[in-house]
Amino acid sequence: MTNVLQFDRVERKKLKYRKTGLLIMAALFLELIWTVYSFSDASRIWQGTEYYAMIYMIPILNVIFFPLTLGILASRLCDMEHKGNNLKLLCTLEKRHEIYNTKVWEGMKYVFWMTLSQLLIVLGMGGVYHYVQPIPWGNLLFFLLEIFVVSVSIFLLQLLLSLFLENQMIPLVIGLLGSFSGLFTLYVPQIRRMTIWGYYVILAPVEYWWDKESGAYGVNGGTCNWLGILVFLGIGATLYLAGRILFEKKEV
Amino acid sequence: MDYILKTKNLTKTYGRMDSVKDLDLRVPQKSIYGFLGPNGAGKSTTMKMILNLVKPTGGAVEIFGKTMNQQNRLNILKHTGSLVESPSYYGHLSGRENLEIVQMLKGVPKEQIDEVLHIVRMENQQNKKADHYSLGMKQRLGIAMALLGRPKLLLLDEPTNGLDPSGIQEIRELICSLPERYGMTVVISSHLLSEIDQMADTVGIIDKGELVFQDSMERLQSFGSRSIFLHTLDDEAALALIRERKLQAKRDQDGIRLSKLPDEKVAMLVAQMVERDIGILRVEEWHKSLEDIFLELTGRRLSL
Repeated sequence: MTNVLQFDRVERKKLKYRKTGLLIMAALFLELIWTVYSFSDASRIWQGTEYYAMIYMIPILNVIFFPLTLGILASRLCDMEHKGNNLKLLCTLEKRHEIYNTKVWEGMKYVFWMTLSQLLIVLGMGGVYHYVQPIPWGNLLFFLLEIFVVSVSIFLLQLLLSLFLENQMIPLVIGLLGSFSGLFTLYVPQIRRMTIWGYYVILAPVEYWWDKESGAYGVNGGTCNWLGILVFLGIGATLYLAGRILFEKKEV
Repeated sequence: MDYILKTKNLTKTYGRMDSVKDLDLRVPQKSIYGFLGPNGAGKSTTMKMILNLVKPTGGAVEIFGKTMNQQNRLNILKHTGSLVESPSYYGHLSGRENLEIVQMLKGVPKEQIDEVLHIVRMENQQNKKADHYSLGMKQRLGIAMALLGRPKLLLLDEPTNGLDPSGIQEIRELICSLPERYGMTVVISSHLLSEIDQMADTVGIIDKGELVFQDSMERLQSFGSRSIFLHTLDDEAALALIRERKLQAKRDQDGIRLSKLPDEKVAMLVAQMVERDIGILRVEEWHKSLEDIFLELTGRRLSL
């Protein structure tokens, strides 16, 4: 534990002036503006299911904003090591898995704050616009859990790319393509489960319905897909181990 | 002799090519070991294998009498400092902040930062962003990082690369002072013969991944046999006279080359040539340079 705290202190020192937190806050701020714009009269449109509607809509915004934000986060953590030839130095001072774990830990901290911001957005909107629906805590907590596990997996994928590719444009473009592909596959039911980026929406614990005849639509509370969470934990563990093993073998 | 660093049959193979082959380095304690070789000879790969940055295909590295393995490598490397290829630094941080990072990772007292800044004479530039440093300053920062924790062994890979003459002189003086002032052993690699000649007391020459020479600098210099070079208006007559006196000589494009003779004999030979009306243009003592010795050892020319 002492080691983790010490390496965390060193990592925070390295990230000084990098404005990583500011970049993430900028992405979250954009998401907040979009949410306020879409949900300012939610009580009129969604009539008693405002929170469900938010739990349905926010993951769509996450598909747009999060993959690139996580790509930038991983890139900020890694490009300072590539630019200054620092891996050669670090590998003589720390165990390789410690270097890798510190990056993972640092990224997960940001992912945690990003997830928490989602809770604040939902509760804040509900408070400011006086939503009629009581807070559905079960669905809300599962919603936070799925955002966290999907984000961690995407972050680990981006970290793998950023750590091994010196040219950070490639991971960033992959992050951007992830956003597009995630959004695109949501509208094509046959392939919507094929990329990891769309799972923010797929795992959301709500159900959207639409009646063709009357044209009515709405969002109900849905089941919590625990199997999906388990699968994502598996994906996350695989990506973590792949990154760790490859980094152990990497020649610097 | 006590060796602080030894390698045994150290080998690195990439594909079918041996980048380093069966290398047996012997670095004496408190020496400055010059690791010399042309570009691509395998110097950096060797340094990286010593620091465990590159996994050897075969062989072993022994530092401070312990064979290095995955379990003890960090404990051993804790007492070493290194600068491999180019200096490592965080460009967005100041020199001092860079040193603080290394100080935290090495777990050494903060006071040592001021000490190493003083050694590399960087006190006045310590608060400047590393990105704004000149290459020489970055090299000095790299050396300062390596010096933190007062390592017993310092591995410097081409530390004067890209420096201007005054920068080279400064780094050279600094390196030369380390064994005496701090009891450190320094391994310094370079493709510049003159650089190693001015700093090292022990030298290892590597070529195409193989060690072609390893001994003291004095011994390397002793290979530089002396001879007398004669240039006359009639080299053929001069050569005939030399052979009459039963002396060994060889004629080449520039004149006649004799094996080293006592001064009196040279004077007598010159007098006899004058008696026979052989016009003498030049009599020189010729000493084989380190460059020539290197050429003989490796068959390749090296930068001076």
